[in-house]
Amino acid sequence: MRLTRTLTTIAASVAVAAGALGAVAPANAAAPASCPRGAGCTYKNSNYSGGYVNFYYNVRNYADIDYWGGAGGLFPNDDVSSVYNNGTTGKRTFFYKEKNYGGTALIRNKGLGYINLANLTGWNDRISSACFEGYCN
Amino acid sequence: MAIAGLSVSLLTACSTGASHEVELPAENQARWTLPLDQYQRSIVDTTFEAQQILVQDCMRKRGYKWGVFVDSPDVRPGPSWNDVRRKLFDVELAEQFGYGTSRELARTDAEEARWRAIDTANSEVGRAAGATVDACFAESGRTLGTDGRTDPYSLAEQLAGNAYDDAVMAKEVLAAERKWRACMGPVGVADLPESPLMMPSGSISALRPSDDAPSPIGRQTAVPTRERDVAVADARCRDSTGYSVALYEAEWHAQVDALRRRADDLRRYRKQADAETSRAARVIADHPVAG
Repeated sequence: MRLTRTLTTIAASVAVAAGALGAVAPANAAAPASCPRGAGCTYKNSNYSGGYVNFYYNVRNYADIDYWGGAGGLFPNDDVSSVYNNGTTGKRTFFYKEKNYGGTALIRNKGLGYINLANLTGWNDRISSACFEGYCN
Repeated sequence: MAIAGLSVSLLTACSTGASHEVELPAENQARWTLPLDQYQRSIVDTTFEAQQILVQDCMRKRGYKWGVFVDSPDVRPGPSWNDVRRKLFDVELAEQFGYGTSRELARTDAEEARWRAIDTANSEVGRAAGATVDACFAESGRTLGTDGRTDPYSLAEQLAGNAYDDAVMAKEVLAAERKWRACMGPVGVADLPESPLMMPSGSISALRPSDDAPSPIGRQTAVPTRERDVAVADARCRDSTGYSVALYEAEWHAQVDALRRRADDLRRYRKQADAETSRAARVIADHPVAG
């Protein structure tokens, strides 16, 4: 089954101001309107915009997904430029550099995102899998 | 081949010009133990549990039920994971899980089922009473001191990511990659990638594609035979060609360099992290959990 079954229609928005390393959006800053409640959200472009892949448990391998939701084009693997954790239960989200949760992880707590991964050395267009804590399987 | 060694100290200079000793862990390739681990959040995280306890209190006062699952005090990472949530991969794990993973924590099936039931129920409350849940998380963050603009683990997380990027491009690692490809030739993966880090290839991943769902309880080891066979051969080739040793050593040295450069900042953040952990421990000790 392809992951695209979880995708929903979105409108891009700019919501929180995340900065470079160590300066992050405060907890409970407004979530991007495009990120459904309960989801982990990944976007093709910065500012939580462009195509999207949303998940409620995990994305074991972005290369299994043929296209971005919305008008984002093809092949989301190694093409993510902003992320947001809009989970409701406090679980952290983990965004991994390799398929199947391999390599090092970028971690976001509930209510936090990175609005532009280009500001974070080594992370822009590098995400290949993602999961909520407890569901990295 | 696993590498294990004794812990050693590293002399570093801080911003005041004084020298400090920084303890390095013992090298352990099997557990993928690295110098920056000591500054990263443990996979067994009491802060999360304390936060859930505080949210439960807060939600109860507002007329909502919020479940809390408390792990056994001696719970350990699942076999696929090290202490700071790095995925492990070796022949034994490949035989069990293919390219998949065990649970993150070594819970029993019954414990895992209970954790998931609580998480599912809390998710429903979170969707139905979102503003209340958010207010309670904000309140818990103030109590635990985790609502600031800096995360004490972010620096180590970022430095570890950079060290990883350096390591995968190290010449010893690239040389071992070429040997790995030759070793994998007889396995017959038509779309074999350049690097083992890009496994499973598309054809192998397609045997069990991503589906945004929890792994069925008790079936983590239900792996397609072809995936299992390729994963085991892959793990053997990573060992026999020296790939795993080369990557581990390159990553170790890149992290030592990072630690030497940023020891002062890392120490400062660890104090902040330790303070958070202490507050979490007090919350857990002071609050009986209603379940």
